[in-house]
Amino acid sequence: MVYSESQASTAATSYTITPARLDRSERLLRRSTAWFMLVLLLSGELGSIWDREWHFYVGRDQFWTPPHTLIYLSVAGAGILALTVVLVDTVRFYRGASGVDDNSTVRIFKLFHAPLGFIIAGFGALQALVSAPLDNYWHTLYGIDIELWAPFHMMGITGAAIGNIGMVYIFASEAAIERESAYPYRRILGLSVLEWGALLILAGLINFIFVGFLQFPVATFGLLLIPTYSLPVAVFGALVLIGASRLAYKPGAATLTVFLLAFHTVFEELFVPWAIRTAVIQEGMSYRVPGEIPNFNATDALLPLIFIISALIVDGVAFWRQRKGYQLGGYTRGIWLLGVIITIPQLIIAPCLLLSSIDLPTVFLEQPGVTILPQLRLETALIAVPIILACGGFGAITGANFGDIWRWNKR
Amino acid sequence: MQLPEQTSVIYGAGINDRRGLALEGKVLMYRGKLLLFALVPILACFTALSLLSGIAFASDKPAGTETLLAGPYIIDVNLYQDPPVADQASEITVVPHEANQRLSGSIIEMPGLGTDAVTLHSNLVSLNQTNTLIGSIRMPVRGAWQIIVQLNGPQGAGEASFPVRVAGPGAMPFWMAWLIALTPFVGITWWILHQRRYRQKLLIQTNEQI
Repeated sequence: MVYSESQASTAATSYTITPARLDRSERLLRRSTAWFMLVLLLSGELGSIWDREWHFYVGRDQFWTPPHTLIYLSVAGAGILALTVVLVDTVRFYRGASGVDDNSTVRIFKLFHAPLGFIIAGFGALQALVSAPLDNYWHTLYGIDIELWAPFHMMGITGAAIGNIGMVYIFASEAAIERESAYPYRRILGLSVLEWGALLILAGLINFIFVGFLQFPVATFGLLLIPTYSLPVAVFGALVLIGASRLAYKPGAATLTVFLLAFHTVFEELFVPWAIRTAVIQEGMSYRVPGEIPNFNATDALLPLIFIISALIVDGVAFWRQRKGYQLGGYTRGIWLLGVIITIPQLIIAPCLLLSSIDLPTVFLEQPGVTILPQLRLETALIAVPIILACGGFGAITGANFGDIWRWNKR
Repeated sequence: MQLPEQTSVIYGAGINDRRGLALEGKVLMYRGKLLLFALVPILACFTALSLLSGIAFASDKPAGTETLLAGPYIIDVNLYQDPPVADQASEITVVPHEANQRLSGSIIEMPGLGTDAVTLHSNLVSLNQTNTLIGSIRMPVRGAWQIIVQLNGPQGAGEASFPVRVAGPGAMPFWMAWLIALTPFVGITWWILHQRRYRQKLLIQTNEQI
C-alpha cells in the first residue's frame, strides 16, 4: 500500500502516516457522476409514468408536454454526463492517471477508454434521444394512441432499459472496487451505499417496465389481439430479482428491491395525479374525457405486490444456500427452474390486481355479447402459460449472468 | 531534481518525458476525433428536432380563404398554410366583412372522423388594433380536422366551422421503420453474447482468487 507523509505540526518533529488513496479523484469522478445520473434516472422515470397518465387523462396535444420535457431533459442530462465521463476518462487513460487503466476501463472503437457502465448508459440515452423525433413523426402519421409495439416506441423503451442496466453496471462496479479496497465504508443493513444505489436502479427497471406494458397491454396484429403485459413482467421480474440477489450476495436483497419498487410506485401515485390536475388548471386545458380526473390509484401503487412472493422465494433459496455453505452466485445450472417457479405467483397475483384497472374480458372481446367457450379459454391458457413461464426462465438465466457480472466486474 | 530538457504537458503524471511526449501527441491527434464523435450525435438530434417542429409564419398573402357566416357576422378566415402540416404551427386570421366591427374570439381544432387526437383550443387576438383577429393553429396528427371559429361582438356570439385536411410528412414504409428501430438490437445481441464470455472470464478469475 502506498502511504503519504503529512507533518502533524510545524513545531513538532513527529510525523503521522495516513493512507492516501491514489485513485481518489477517479472514484470521486465516477461516484459523483453516478449519483447525479441516478437523480436524472429517477426523474426520467417519474416523467414516463406522468406521460402515461397524461396520455390517458389529457391526450397528446404536442411533443413538448410537461412530462415529455421532464423525460427528455433527464435523458439528455444523463447522456451528457455519461459522455463527459467517457471523454474525461479517455484523456485520463492516455495521461496514465491513477485508477484509470485496462483493469478499470474498457476500450471502445479502438480509441475510447471508459468504465463499461458509462458506455452502456450513454448508448442507452443516445438511443432514447434518437427515437424521440422519430416517435413524434410516427405519432404525427398515426395518431396519439399508437401502441407500445410501434417501432419507435420499442426503440425508445429499449434505449431506456439499456440506460438503466448501464447505471446498474456503474454502481455495481464501484461497489466491487469498494469491497476489494482496504478502505472502510459505511453499510446500511449489510449493504454499502453503492449497492443500495444499484438495487434502487433495479427496482426502477421493473417500474419502467410497468409504464408502457400496462398502458398498452394488448398488441394488435390485424385481427389478432394478444395481451402482452405478462411477457416483459415475467422476463424483467426474474432478471431483476435474481440479478439483485447475486449483486448484493445477501439473502433479502430481492425482497428489499420489491420494497424499493413500492417506494417508487407510491411516490409516483402521490405526485402524478396532483401534477396533472395542477397542469390542466394552470395551462387552461381540458380533460380528454370530461369529468374523468386523476386521483391516487391504489392498484397502481400496489403493483409491486405482484413480485413479493417471487422475491421471498429467491431470498429463501439464497438463505438456504448460505446455510448449506454453497455460493450464492457463480452457477447457472437449474436457474431456469427458479425463474419458472417465481413466475407462477406473478401469473396468479397480476390478473387479480389488474382486473380492477384493466377490463381484460373487454380487451379480449371487443364485440359486445360474444361469449368465450370454456374450451377456448383452456386452449388459450395452454398456449399462453408455457410461453410466460419460458419468459420467466429466460429472465432468470439472464439475471444470473448479469448478477454475477455486476458482483465481480470492476471495470 | 533536474528537469529533463524536453518537457511534456503530461510529464509528472507518472509517465517519463519521452513517452509523455509521444502520448501527448497521440492525445492531441485524438482530440479532434473525440470532439467529432461527441458532436455528431448531438447535432443530429438537434437537427431532427428542429426539422420536426418548425413554425410556418404568415406571409403577405394567405394560402387559402374561407368565407363563413358565424351567427350575425360574415367573416373571411385566412389560412397561411393550406393544407396545414401536422405538428407545425401556422397562422390564421379572421377578418369581418364590416370594417367597423371589433370582435373577440377563439378557435377550436376538433379531430374529424378517423383522426386519433384530442380537441385543442387557441385564442384569437386583435392584430395591431385593427378589426382583424389573428391566431395560431397547430394540429399534431395528420388527417381530417374541423376548425371552429367562435366569435363575440356587439351583435352577440356566433360560431362557424370548416373542415381542413392536415397534411403529414411523407410516410415511411413499415419495414423501414422497423429496420431503423431494430438496428440497435444487433448491438444489444452482440453485447449480451460478449457479456456471457466476459462472465466466464470473471468466473475463472474469481475461482483463481479463491
